[in-house]
Amino acid sequence: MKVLAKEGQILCPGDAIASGEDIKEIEGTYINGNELCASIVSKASIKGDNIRLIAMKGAYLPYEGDYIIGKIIDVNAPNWYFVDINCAYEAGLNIRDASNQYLDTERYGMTHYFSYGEVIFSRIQKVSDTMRIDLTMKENGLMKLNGGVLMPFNPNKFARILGKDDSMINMIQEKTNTKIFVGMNGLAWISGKALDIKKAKEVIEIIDAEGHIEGLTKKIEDMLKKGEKK
Amino acid sequence: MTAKKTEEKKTESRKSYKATGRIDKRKATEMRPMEMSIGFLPNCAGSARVKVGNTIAIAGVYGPKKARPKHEELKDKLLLRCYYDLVSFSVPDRARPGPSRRSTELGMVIKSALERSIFTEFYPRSMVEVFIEVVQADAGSRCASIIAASLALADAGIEMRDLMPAVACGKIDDLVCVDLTKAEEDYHEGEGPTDIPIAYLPNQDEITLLQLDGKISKEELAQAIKMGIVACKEIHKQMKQTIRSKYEKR
Amino acid sequence: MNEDFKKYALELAEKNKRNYGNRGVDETRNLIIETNVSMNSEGSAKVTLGKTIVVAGVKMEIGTPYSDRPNEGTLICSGELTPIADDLFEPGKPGEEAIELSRVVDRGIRESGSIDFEKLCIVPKEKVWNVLVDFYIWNNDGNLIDACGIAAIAALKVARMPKLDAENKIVSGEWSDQKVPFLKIPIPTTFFKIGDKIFVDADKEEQAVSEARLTVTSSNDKINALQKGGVGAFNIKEIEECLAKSFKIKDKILDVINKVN
Repeated sequence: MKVLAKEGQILCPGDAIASGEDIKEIEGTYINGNELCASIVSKASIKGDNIRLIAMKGAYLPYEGDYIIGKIIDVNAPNWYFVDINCAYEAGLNIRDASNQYLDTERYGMTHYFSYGEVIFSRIQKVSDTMRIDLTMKENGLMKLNGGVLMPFNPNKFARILGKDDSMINMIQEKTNTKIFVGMNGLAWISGKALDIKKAKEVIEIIDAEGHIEGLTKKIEDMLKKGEKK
Repeated sequence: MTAKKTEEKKTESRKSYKATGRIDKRKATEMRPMEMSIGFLPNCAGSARVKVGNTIAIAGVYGPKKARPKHEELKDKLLLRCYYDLVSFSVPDRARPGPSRRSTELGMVIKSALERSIFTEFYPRSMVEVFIEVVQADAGSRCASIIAASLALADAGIEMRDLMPAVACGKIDDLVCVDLTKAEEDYHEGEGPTDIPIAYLPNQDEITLLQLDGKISKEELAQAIKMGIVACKEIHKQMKQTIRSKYEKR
Repeated sequence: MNEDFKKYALELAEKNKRNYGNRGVDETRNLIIETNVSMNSEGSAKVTLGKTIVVAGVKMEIGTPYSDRPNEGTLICSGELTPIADDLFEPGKPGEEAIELSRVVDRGIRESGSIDFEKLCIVPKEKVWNVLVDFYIWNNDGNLIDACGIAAIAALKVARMPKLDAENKIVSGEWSDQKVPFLKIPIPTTFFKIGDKIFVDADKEEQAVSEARLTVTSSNDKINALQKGGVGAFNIKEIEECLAKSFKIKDKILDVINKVN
């Protein structure tokens, strides 16, 4: 395999990344004859023969095991909550996966537990071949989110917002005095005092807009320090 | 003198378009200056603005999202919708706002062209909508629209085979050339204008849009399309540069 | 969820802060006006109000006058909620929201006497100018009425009269050196009520939790048009507050429009 792209290069759809008999398709690429080409606008990360593309933009695609933030949009079918998870496919939460405890919907009704417009921090349990998505709430840390503000962000910046070992998000939470949940599906939920939420939102917006730049952590640190002095 | 003779004489005294040269002094193979930018509409997943000479088109992309209406969703691939809209004050005689027969047809041919560049099988049961607004029209608006739409789709992160350039090649009287202006489309001397908009996928070497209005010989048509493909390759370079410079400059 | 955002917006308002950016409850977002964005129009303008972007253009046509006003030209404003502007806007015929928007902008311009309609008469009883102002929304981040009203006025302010030939027919693509006769600048300012607080120039998220809005269009010292929208209501004290504030805000917007030419 001959690597044609350079480390850090911005790739457009159609740009050749590598050529040869032994090229393999990776995420964000396709094979065109004997060339591996990019299919999305992305940044190339190349370590020897190890090639990875970092997408610049793009809608969220659901995978099993993803932690997501969703909004209950329908509670009309027996035993099912329908959840908008900020992507092309609606997700379903079955009542048996909605809690570790027994939920007595016969007695209290479905909306007693989750109702229209409510926000949940949940996990994708299964994605079928026809893109049917099942959620679960049966895990520690998964919960209904009350009294906060939602903000959308570019799902491709999820890792940058979290930071290495959650360092970035922990720093933002600590310095702004907020509680933040970040969904892999490009939604963040922030609670706290209004001014603190506003600050946290502004910081996440900057990471969202400039997440592909080196030295971002320093910039965010400075921004949060400035906020402290005031 | 008979009428026929008068006509002959007129033809003799008239200089051909090839002889007089193009109205705006361009070479036959020369395109008008182009400007391109991406990502200026915050609500859209992707957006682009393209200026070709005096023609300006903007495109905005939403999705992939839930297909609506539900009964139109495609079980195994993406539902692509494309809307072409001519802004009422983009042309000298005001265009009536809203869809027309022309805008409906153009939306459809643009969609067919773009769909070839997209990996539609990656997005079953979902929908991408492309909205195009032609803000200023001086011929070639469907080609400017395709360039803008292709850039906007890439900006939205939709998986594609390649970016898709487009250009109107054609023939004015006896001159085969690219990127016709409105004044050239209105040039009715001699054989008059022939307008051939094409779109091209460079790394697949495929023509994805092809229309023709006018009168042209087989040989001249082949020549025009070849000239159009060369022009498309140039446009393609500028499209890539537009995307790169957005992320590289910072 | 909406209730949570509302609580957040109101808590910020207590501190005279807003959802995004650095502004207070009574302040508008950054306003940028670019003119002559489309060369085939008589006049055109692009308005950027925060993240809301709209484009307006003027075209003139020759028509017959209304029988009760034989010496006057006419005005028609029309706008669409262009689907490029918002995921929630759907392609197709303008709905009630788009029609209300067009009519509120139209009334502001008409009632203020902004255009000198008598000067738009070509042959009394036979031929007058029809002024057609169309606006398109490119990005919806709330407060479309103000953005469209400002864009329409800016486009009219720079509009040139088309050229007429000896038979009083329009020479397509050519203009005379006359401008469209323009007298006053009506400016719409819209107030959004969230809870019991009044917000100026709401963004889309704020607008989504607002129960009622009031648009005040004024020129010089006169109020020319009002439009109350939404299911909520205003009391007389709140209306007076909106009217008083509208004149202050109007002057700021006027400063930007005055620079346009």
